Amino acid sequence: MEIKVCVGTTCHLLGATELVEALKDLPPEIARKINLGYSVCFESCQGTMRPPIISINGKYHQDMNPSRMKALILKTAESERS
Amino acid sequence: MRNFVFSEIMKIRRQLMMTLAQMYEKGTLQEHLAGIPKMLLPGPHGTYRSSVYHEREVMKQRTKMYLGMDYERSRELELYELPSLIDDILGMKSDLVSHDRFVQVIKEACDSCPSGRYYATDLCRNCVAHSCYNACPKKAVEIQNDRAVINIDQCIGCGLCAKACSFYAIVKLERPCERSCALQAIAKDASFAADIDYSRCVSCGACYVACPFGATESPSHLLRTLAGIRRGEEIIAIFAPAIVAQFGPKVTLGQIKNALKKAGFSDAVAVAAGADEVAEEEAHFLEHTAGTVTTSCCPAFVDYIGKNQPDFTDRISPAPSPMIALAKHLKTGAGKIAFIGPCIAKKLEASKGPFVDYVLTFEELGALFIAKGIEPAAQEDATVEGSRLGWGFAAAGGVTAAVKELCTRELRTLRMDGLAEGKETFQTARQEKFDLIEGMACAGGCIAGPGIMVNPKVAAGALKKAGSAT
Repeated sequence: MEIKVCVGTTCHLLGATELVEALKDLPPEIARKINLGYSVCFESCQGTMRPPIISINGKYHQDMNPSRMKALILKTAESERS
Repeated sequence: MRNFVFSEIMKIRRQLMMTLAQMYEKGTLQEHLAGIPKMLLPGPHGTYRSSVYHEREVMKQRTKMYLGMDYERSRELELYELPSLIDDILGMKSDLVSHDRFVQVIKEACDSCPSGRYYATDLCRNCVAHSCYNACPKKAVEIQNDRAVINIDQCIGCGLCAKACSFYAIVKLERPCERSCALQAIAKDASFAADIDYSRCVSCGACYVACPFGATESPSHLLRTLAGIRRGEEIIAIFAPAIVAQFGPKVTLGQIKNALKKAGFSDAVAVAAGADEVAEEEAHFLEHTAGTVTTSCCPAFVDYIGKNQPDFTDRISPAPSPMIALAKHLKTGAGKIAFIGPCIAKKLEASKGPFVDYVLTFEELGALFIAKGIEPAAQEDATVEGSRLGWGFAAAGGVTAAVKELCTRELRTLRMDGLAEGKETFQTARQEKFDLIEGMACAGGCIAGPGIMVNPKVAAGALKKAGSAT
């Protein structure tokens, strides 16, 4: 699973740091499958999407918080398994 | 040192700051100002509160404070009345601008939560011992419907029932703002909303951090700084040492310096350079002084001494704060100085003298970068001023460490780490002889101030690597 977290200023101000922290708390069997990267900016936050933004396997997800992000990751992991 | 948990309150505040700054930069602020609450809180249902109209009203009040206006004096103004006044407000020519009150309660946001009494929760098991009932000296505890109930007319708030309960079923109801305030500066107004007693308040911002409704707010200098840049003022940005790690682990201090220059400041200089000078001055002063000296870098601490320990007023270090020391060097005729830090009390300190014109928090600086379209991470690195001793001022114990290292004689030192330690610290200082008393209003120091963006523990780690070797 490819995950990118935006750490640009807008996402940083609106909670990206919390997302990076939350990624450390994932169950190890899921954390092992994650290929984590950072992006300075996806250039979609100014108007079209609400920050903080992450991408999972190339798909953008807006208005993330730790619990919404975890749920998304678990769902993606589930669908990859089946 | 406080823990740092990102909350919806921070999100609301930062979103509004960003929106205002972006609109100002695009030149659309006057046109869109009145529509901001509806734009950010589109409804039809409340986003943060049960009523969308209530949260929009709160945002309206917050918007005015972010334009730099005094809450009390502008409370009755509607946003649609502002466009014609805005140039005067941002030029600080309007009497609606706040000059001396930088911590204010938005009454519309205050939940008037209960405080000062005890409440028996449903953890009560109606036990056989009834220790609460027996412990109460006023017979205020009654047993109704199989559980303890406290009769508030008879309760004197002694707390003996809570101590007696084996199930922790009785709690003291406290307002988060009141609990956070070490100086009992938060009272209640006629409608039981929180009310700041300015004869006690030292503008530390603890209540700004503590209120879960985001009701405490601070009038901002953000928009007027942007206005100053637009007017073509030569503004030198000076940034406090607590800025380490504030823009994430990947952004260096040199990149922040360059980002500031790109944002329209004529230069950017680390306040750590001013801190180095202050440390030297205090060390030198202590070599020739026999009596106790207190530090002067934290404006809320200086204010605290004046209001609570007046017999120590003449013991305050003659050295200026690092902010003022540096600003004095850099200030030229028509030039302006903008201080960037984690602090609300610095706004008050700046307003008392001619050296610092604008004060921004790190959150506000983030909004400024976004409005200017600048990514600090994309800037080139540069060398920054200040030694490790000067940078160390940002954490509690840092000033003591610097002065001790620079002073040729052995110093006996005492520290007040947070206003809550104030009483005890000064009691000790009256009983024994100390050379230097370091005071920080925020426990942990500036890296735990009200305007921070990262966990103080992370900043403390990064701080160890900041600054040149001495």
